[in-house]
Amino acid sequence: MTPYILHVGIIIILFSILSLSLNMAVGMAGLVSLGHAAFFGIGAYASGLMMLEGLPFIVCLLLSGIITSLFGLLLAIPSLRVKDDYLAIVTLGFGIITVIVLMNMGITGGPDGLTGIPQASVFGFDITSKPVYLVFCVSILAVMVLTTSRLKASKVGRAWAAIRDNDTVAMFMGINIYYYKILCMVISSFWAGIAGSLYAHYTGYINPMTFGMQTSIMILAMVVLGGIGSIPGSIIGAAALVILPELLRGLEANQGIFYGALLVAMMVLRPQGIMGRMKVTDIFARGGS
Amino acid sequence: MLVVSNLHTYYGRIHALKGISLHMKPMEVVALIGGNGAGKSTVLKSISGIVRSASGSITLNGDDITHVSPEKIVMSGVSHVPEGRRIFPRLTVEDNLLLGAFTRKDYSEIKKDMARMQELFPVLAKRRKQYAGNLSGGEQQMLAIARGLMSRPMLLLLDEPTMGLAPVVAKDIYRQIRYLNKERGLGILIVEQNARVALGLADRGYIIETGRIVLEGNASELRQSNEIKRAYLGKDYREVWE
Amino acid sequence: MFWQQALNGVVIGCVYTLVALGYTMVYGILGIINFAQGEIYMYGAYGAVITLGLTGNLTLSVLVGISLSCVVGVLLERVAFKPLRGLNPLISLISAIGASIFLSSSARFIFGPDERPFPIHFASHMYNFLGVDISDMQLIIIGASLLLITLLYVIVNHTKNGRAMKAVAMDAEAAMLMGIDVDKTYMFTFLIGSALSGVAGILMAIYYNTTYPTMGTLPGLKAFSAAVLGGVGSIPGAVVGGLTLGVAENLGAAYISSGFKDAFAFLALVLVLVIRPSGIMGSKR
Ligand SMILES: Nc1ncnc2c1ncn2[C@@H]1O[C@H](COP(=O)(O)OP(=O)(O)O)[C@@H](O)[C@H]1O
Ligand SMILES: [Mg+2]
Repeated sequence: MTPYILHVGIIIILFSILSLSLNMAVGMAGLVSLGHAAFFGIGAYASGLMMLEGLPFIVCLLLSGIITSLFGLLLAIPSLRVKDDYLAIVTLGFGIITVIVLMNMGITGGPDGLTGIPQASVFGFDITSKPVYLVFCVSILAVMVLTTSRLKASKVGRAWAAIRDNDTVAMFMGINIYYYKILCMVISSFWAGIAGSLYAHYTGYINPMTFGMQTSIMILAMVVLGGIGSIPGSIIGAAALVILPELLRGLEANQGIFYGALLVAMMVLRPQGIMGRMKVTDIFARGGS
Repeated sequence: MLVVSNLHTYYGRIHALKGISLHMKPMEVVALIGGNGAGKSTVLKSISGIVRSASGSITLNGDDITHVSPEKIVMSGVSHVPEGRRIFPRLTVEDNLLLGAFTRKDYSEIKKDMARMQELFPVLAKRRKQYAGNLSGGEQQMLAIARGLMSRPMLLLLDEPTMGLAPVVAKDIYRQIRYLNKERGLGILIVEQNARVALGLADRGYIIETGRIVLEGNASELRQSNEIKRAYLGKDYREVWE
Repeated sequence: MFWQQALNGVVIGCVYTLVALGYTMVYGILGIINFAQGEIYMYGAYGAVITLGLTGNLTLSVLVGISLSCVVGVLLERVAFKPLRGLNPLISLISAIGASIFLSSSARFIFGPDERPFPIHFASHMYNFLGVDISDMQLIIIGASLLLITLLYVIVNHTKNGRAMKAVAMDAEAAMLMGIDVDKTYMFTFLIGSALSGVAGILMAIYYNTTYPTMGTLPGLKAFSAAVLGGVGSIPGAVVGGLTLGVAENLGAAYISSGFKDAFAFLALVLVLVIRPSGIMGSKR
């Protein structure tokens, strides 16, 4: 395999982790986020900074997930008070603020970001070569897919589904909706933080613009494209939206024309996504606001 | 004047009307009676064009209005006073009335009609400048009817006009309806769950059950019918009403 | 310094208000967040700048700019929103985001990525009121905004179409029974909202002397914040929200930190939505 294909493969896996983590919130619990890239960024910066301080990669990886989930906890508070389009806007605001903060803080390197993030190694083994790193990322995705499908089929998953369908009804059913919403945000942001860490050590360089609104929208588009609530869908959506721009390379900045039109067309023609069996309209029945 | 024949209407997969046929002569009062979910409101909505029927036809004075837009239907003289009144709560009584005349362009006549409505329903005159949402249930119903009359219809479709109102208020509403028919020559198609009252008012009636007309006839005949007595006038009916 | 910054804030706040009015009307009547409002603003600016470059006629250019905004807005409603009516607002939101990306990328494709200066230079006079400097362009922005807000107020509260808009906002089905063409009312709403955004775009193209494909993104998001701040769906709310945000942002940049200037709007947005979702002036939701 050429380095180029390996590179695209690694990016697909990273975005699969991101879209699956967002899908956990959107598809499983009905919590929409337009600021998911902020978690990605928080994980990347946390990991990058810790590694620059000399902590070993595997510790950074785990800690960045945990640190990011603390921010998830922070964002979970508004998600208890607003929902649907309003929640989307709150998370959008959170995402924008995160980027502005990253831009203006000294420790994060401002607009220039962090450079020279050390390469990754696990228990002394160097995993920086592209094939090895791809395998490493795939195994993390595999762990995530396994735990997520477990979770989906468990009591937690059923509680999330009830909240997604109608949180008022869920509350009357005796489900502690606050607990489950917070849990969802925490787990979802944990995985986004992990993706951030993997990304930081893969590129060795990060800057705030990578984690802005465009990326958040792209992750949401992956979820929507693949099918809201579908685990394989998230991976297919990620692959599609990573590969599509590669294929449209010649168009450079004009990709947005296709990408934007695709989003509109998806909503109008096939809101259930590629893999979705349920219609998005079934998932988000109107009303109850 | 109005002929509905073999009308089928769906809400998605729900087959709400399964071949409804009914007719009305000018200046007639016709009652459409049935239990909850029978399809009464759907009949009215199909006539006024806010739900599209899948097949069958509706004609008004010989013109086909089956797939005509709601605004054209209003202009051709049909006014639908919906279930639950549906007045515009954060608009004044006056603005509600003006909206009733939305399709009209004869502004000086609209002014006169406004005055007439306030004569007909004196409570509305007193509350002209208040938000409609602050009116009592009975007042809101009167406003809804007055608003419906502002388009100068020849046919009024009334959907459960006394639902949820105290008996005295309901009586008052019925008195007004009778007046509109006798003195103004308005044709009225009235939907009711309360068969006793509706048949007391109407010339003829139709009984509808799960999207089908199961019985029709003169009001006096229907009042005598054993079936009606059992289903809508006896104890069973009382439970529905209360 | 304080009053000077406050005044500059009022000027920007007027522009936020004009765009916020579009958001608020569309939300109030259709219940959807038109994420692409900022792109409508950008097309208005381009329409005017390009026409002016070709003809040199300012009045014509302004009219073309506004018309272009209206066309974009109405097409947007037809293509991206109309088919989604009655579904969860989130679906419309995603569609709107797609439309917004599409529109700004298309502008980049059609007009090129570079910034364009405004073709004619406005000789800028400065007036001094009680120690506060105000340029004639600032006066024009404030004046035009006041005029348009008044006009909108009259349309909504004292015309038949305005009454129809309110009726549709409260109960679309009952409005249909009055013989109101709901589709036309939606279109009319988009038309007015787009025209206001178009004017805002043109004013800003002159004020900052630049036009570029993403010029609408940040003002659009901030205007949305302003609409939410004031209470989305409320016209007085949009005015209060727009002015508050403009002033707060300028004072914040002057006295707290200019790097965080853009964060104030979004901080306000998040806090308002979380603490008081109905906004300063709003009553429902
Ligand atoms: N908007 C709707 N969507 C889906 N089903 C509906 C809708 N409105 C009515 N129905 C269904 O159509 C049937 C007839 O309803 P309706 O005409 O309102 O009955 P009625 O007025 O006699 O109580 C019912 O089964 C009802 O559940
Ligand atoms: Mg009914």
